[in-house]
Amino acid sequence: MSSRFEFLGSTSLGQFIPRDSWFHARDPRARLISFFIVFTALIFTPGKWGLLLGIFFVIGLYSLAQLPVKSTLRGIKKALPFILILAILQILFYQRSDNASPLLEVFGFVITNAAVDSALNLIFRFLVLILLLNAFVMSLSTSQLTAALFHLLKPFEKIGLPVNDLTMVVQVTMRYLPLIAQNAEKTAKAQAARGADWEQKGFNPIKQAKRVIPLIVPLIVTSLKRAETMAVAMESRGFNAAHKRSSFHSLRYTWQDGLLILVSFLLSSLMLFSGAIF
Amino acid sequence: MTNLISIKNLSFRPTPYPVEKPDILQSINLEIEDGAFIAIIGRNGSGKTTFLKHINGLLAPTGGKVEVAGLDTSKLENLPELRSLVGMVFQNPADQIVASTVEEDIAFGLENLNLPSKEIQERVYEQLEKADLLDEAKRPPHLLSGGQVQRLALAGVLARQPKIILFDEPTSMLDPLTRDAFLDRICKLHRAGMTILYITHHMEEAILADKIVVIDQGRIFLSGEPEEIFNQEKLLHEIGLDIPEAAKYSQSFRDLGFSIPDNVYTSEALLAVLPEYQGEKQYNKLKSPNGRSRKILIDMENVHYTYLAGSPLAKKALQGADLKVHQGVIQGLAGTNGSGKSTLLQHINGILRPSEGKVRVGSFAVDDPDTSLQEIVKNVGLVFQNPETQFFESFVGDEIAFGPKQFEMDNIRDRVKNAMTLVGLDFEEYKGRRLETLSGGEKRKVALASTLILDQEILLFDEPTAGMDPKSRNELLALFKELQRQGKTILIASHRLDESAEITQAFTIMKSGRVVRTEATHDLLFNNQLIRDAGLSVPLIIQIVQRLRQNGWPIEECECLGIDHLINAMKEWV
Repeated sequence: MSSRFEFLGSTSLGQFIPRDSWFHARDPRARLISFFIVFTALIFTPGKWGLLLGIFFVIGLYSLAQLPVKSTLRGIKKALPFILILAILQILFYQRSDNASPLLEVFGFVITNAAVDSALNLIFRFLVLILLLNAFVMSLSTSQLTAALFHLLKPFEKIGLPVNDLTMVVQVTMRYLPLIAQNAEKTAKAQAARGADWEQKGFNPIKQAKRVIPLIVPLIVTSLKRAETMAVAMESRGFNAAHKRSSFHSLRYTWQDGLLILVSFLLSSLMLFSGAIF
Repeated sequence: MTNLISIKNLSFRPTPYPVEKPDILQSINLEIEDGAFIAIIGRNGSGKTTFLKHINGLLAPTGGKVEVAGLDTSKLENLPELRSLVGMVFQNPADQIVASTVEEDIAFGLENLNLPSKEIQERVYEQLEKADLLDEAKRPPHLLSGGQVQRLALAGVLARQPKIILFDEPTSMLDPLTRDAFLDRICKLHRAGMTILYITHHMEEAILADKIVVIDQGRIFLSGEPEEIFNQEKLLHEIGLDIPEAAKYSQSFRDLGFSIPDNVYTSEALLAVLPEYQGEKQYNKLKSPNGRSRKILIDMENVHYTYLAGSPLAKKALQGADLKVHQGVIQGLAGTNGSGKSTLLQHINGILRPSEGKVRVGSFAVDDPDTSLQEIVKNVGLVFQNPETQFFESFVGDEIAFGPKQFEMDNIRDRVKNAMTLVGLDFEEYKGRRLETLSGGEKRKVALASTLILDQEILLFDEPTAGMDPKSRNELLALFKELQRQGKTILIASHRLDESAEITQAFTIMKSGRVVRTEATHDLLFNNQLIRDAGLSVPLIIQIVQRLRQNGWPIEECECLGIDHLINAMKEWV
């Protein structure tokens, strides 16, 4: 039985799975760019052919990076009700053109072929996005992510972008989220130990919300306090944004990384222009 | 020759700050040589940490001057060089970890020096090896043990190769074995030439230094070699401090007429000079007082619990723990960090429910998920470790009244008043104070009152004395006795046996998620092997009694749990 106080377990952090695969061996910058390109293409691809290509890409990625499918499917199961609701809304409120042929009529709602089509597209798009997002979390560690961001943004320092500060913000956030989860756990336990009703009996969203509200203020206060101590600790270890910083990770870019980006780029272009091609 | 650190007439007051309050630091003068090891002691809130923060320029003096290696710490342009010279390890090590993996955290300070990646990697791996953290290099810091986090914090500082390291009570969160290892490391650094400033509440740690500086109310009260300082017992008592246990005991033995030399400050030194018994009396091992057939109030059998069960981060915390606690006793629960003490306590008040096993508390079947948590809480109080970090109200009165409000009790005002009186806080003076304006000791009292106000039959305390100065610690022990007199059953978890030995009737030892033994305090404390196997240290008083018995003294069981009892018993035979 898992405890109702284990907030740490419900954060999707630290899901990085180190593997000895070709994909994992690629430069984090190349992986980040590839994910970025494919994400964009998935969001903007017009029709089912593009999505189909996206599915091929995701399947290829999972097998290439040796990622487990099971935990991802669990994630999909949680999201499924929401996606279905969205799909139904999409069907019911689909903007109809006048010459569309009605498929059937329910309670005064006219349902068209095009509406069903677009709902299916929506479901597919979300599923592929979830698969890709999970692949992203599992194959790029937070440290690789910050290192990649740092090096990718570095050229923009010249035009006055505070790259040090930005990557530091990402890094500290990553460090902070589990701390906040732990803090929430402590405060919730302290409240429960003094009589606050933290027991989950049945489904009662109002009661649930009522329980969370008294957590929020103390959580913000303790987080700010911790942030203050952390700022002092950072200062005492020589962090001073005005100065130049270097990076622990030395990244090496090879032709194979270029290949990864090229493949992602070609695939994404196909997805985006699939409407015109097929 | 100029000294490495030179402090002249330093005073400090923060802004904004109430006019009527005196400066936090007042005209401090101190010269520290290169390679010195200085211990700084003083009561909670005496200004020790504020003082330390002036050495690396985290704070700038509002009066006087601080110079480190000729650098004026109040000048902004000196800060980068100053921070390279001076490293700092904080009280709560988790607060100074910045990155999301161990290796990157060590690298953080080096990235700030703008070193090339290759050199950073070399230095990081050198420190990982020295700190014995190689296997943890890629783990997130929040999943390390307390000892590991403290080693990581030190590694992050050492990687920058400072000349001076400031420590702010670095051992207060560590269990005895980890603490000894950490102190050992510090002594080695000192021998290698590092200059060390070390704040501590433990006089046994202060002895290790070349020089002790005593701070009280923002001033240097005393300073000198450990021997000089600890010869001033009376003065130290005046400001709420104490001399090392071994020194205290030596004095008691001297008063008894034994010839104990001066300058006995460590356990080893004292044990070596204890005298032989010359009399006739024989030592008879008595059976410890038994047979009080009290009701069993807490009954746990084969309790299992796993944190984050089913995830890759799953951690087994309890693996078949058994515990019985009789009504009306004070029972100690000892074990190293990570042995499962806190998890066990949280099973007694129903915050956690076992994945397997039996938990009965009074008439409650806590293992049954249908047993209401609120009903259990009405009967079982739990004060968490560092409870002052879990406040959620703004004012003292509201914080303490939280519990009774949840249960819609009547006469809340009177209840708050009684609870505050019990812990020694004046109701009129404190009820309207904002929590953040309180000192650490006062906050701890508020936290105690906010649990005691529910007047539960069973009270659980998790490391209640951690980070307390000797005076506050004694007040707390007296409070426990008073609660027992009122008929409460009390369970105190701690990684130290000596602090609660005097007031407990029974002791339970835990190791790796299991209860190793529960016994009458007398019996258990003399089981050196058992104690050491569990990673704990044998209290000094017990070591003394054992040595005295070896030397022929006929000391009986009931006479040895406090120095006063022991001395009284021995008076008869001298």
